[in-house]
Amino acid sequence: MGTTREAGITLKQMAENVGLEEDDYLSLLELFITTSTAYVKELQAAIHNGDSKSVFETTHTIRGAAENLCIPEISGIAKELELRARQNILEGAEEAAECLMKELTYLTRIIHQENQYPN
Amino acid sequence: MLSLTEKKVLQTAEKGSGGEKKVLVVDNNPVMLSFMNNLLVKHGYQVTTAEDGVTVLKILETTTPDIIIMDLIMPNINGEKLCRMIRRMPRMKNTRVVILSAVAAEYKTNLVDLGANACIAKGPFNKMSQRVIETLDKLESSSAYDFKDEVVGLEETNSRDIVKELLFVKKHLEVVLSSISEGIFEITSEARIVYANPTAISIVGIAEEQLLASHILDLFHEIDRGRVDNLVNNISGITQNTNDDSFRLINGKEVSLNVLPIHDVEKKSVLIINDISDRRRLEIELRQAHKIEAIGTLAGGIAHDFNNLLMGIQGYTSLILFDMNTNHPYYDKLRRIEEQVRSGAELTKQLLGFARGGRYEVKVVDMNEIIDKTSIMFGRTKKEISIHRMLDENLWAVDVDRGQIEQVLLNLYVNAWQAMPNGGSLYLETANIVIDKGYVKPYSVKVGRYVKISVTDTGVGMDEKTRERVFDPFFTTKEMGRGTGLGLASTYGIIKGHKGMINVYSEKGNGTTFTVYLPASKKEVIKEETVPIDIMKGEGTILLVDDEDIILDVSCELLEMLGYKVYMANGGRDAIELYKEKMSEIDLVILDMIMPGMGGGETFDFLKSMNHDVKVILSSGYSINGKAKEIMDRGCRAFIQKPFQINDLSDKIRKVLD
Repeated sequence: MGTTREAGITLKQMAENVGLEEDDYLSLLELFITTSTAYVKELQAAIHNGDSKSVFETTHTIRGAAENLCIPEISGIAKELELRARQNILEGAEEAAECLMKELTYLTRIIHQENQYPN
Repeated sequence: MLSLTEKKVLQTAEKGSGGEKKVLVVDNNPVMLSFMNNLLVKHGYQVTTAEDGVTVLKILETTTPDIIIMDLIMPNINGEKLCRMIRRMPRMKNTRVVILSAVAAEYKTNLVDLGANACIAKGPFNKMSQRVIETLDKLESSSAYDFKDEVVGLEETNSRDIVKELLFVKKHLEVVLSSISEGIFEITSEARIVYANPTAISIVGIAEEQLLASHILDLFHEIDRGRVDNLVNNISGITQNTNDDSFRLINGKEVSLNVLPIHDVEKKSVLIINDISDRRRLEIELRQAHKIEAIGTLAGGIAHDFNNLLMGIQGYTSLILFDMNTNHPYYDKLRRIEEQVRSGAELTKQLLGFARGGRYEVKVVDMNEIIDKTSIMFGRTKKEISIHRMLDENLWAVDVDRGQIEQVLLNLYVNAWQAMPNGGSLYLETANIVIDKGYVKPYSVKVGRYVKISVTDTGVGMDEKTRERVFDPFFTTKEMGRGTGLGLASTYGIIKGHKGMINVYSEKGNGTTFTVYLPASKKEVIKEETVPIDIMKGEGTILLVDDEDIILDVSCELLEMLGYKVYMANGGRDAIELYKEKMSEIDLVILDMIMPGMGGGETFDFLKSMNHDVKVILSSGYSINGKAKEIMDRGCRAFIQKPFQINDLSDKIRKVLD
């Protein structure tokens, strides 16, 4: 499982994609990172327990929010994981969850960097 | 303590000013809530948010929003259910409901039927912002609900197959839960109800909109709340299964309770309740039936011995009186002894009735005719009671011992009369009824056609404790010496002996109804005329068999007085020996049924094997579970109940010999 990252995307561009003010987008993004990090931890526990139903439901929630915020890297991974969990396939799910966590970390880094060097 | 959402609600409410429209947004996704909150506040709305249906219901207790925007798929109470509940609240009739969902198009429910005024598909926030504001503007400008069940913004949504699948699974589970005969509740960690299946709703008898978000303990009777609270709070990853004996009360029903934890982050639980009221009623009735059966065996034994004693007294009294002049100074005293014996025999008859002493003379009868006859006779002596008869003209016939059933009815009439010391009404009703399996279970009787006889009084009624013991022998509510406590006990035994059922319904101060069910006969009633019996002398030789010497002596003298020659045997084996020797001479055998060693039944079979046409009258002060009838069915010619009088004896003998 993988994703194509739009190289060097800024927070401003991300906000424009959604049509929101940068500040508004930032607060939503921070909320998204906080809640999704918690969801990914739940997801990892569900994968560990072989509970594909919970995997399915949690990735469904993550995907919905990512689509709202136009973050295709995350919604893409979540969608694929969701499709596989629906068929009770959890093979590769741990890696996918790891990818989601990395993407969230990446988003956190973008926020950090831009806070350090505001445009 | 207030949750974060509730605190937010209060803060927002404090902030609100006159012209702002109040909007309540419900979604379990915090990102969505935050987005909607920002968007709507910017456009001048006063916003409250909630993450689930339980919180919404709490908020609506104190607030009436102008607009509610809600997701369809949410934990606890879902959007569909929440929408229906809101629409049932009269306060919310002017509140506009907007569904905001990614799954609206797949939701197989008509959104207009739900009571929604608009529906917006979720999607990227830039598109959603525009749609939300446009929709709210439209709703504000329109006075009527003009929603046409169309979803705004479907074009941007995707991944619909997954959503369809999710909804299908969800709907399927709902169908399964709706079909289960157990009541199922889902409760939060604070014991608030977030789901109840139709069986649960029916058991508790509370409408769903009132039930959801309420506390589970409030459903239980206050005496059970502590125990249920412990159970709900103590689940630690294992199934808590309460013992069925330890039932709880909900809505006047007895229920068993299972609590199962849900292994998720929200720490919710599932409560499974089973309405066991009917089962417990059956168990109580079964226990009662067993208890009465045990006491019946004891009572029957006493009656048997007592009848033999009475037979001795009656026999010798009859012998003395037989050729005594009525002017004799002892004549009246002897008649008094006979009367006392009759009273004693009545008492043992009641005892035997209770002990299911058997149906000696079963005939096809019309219960209406017996009720007419007995109630008219009873009414003549109890003028203070007005009797109302509601008898089914097409009543099926029944196979009964007429004398015993008359005794049953008289017992019930007397009981009613005693319950109405200042007079009242007695209602007698008959009807045909077909009884099913569930009803007959505690009574050990067959399903099928029955004749139902109800005896209802308008008397003082009974409390539950009295009602439970009403058929117990020697149980009486009357003062010492006034009642034997055998009337209803014998009634019970006689009805059981007829493979019928009897039950009682009564409330303190509101009268009593006894209902008797007797199996319907397949035959038709044959009318008979009764004639008074005179003493008839005769000729012939009789073999008298009994294990009690006094019965042998007195019966022998009675028979000789009637003109018969008598051989005596004090047991079955002696009888066989004597019969072998004198078979050609013996015209009739009078055979006791219960004897030590070889009993009456076995002796009869031996006699019959020696002489197929042997004429036997069975005699007993006792019969167990229709044993007399079994022997009669094998070819015995007649039955005579001890203690018997000389005219009865002479009549039975002549009928068999002639």
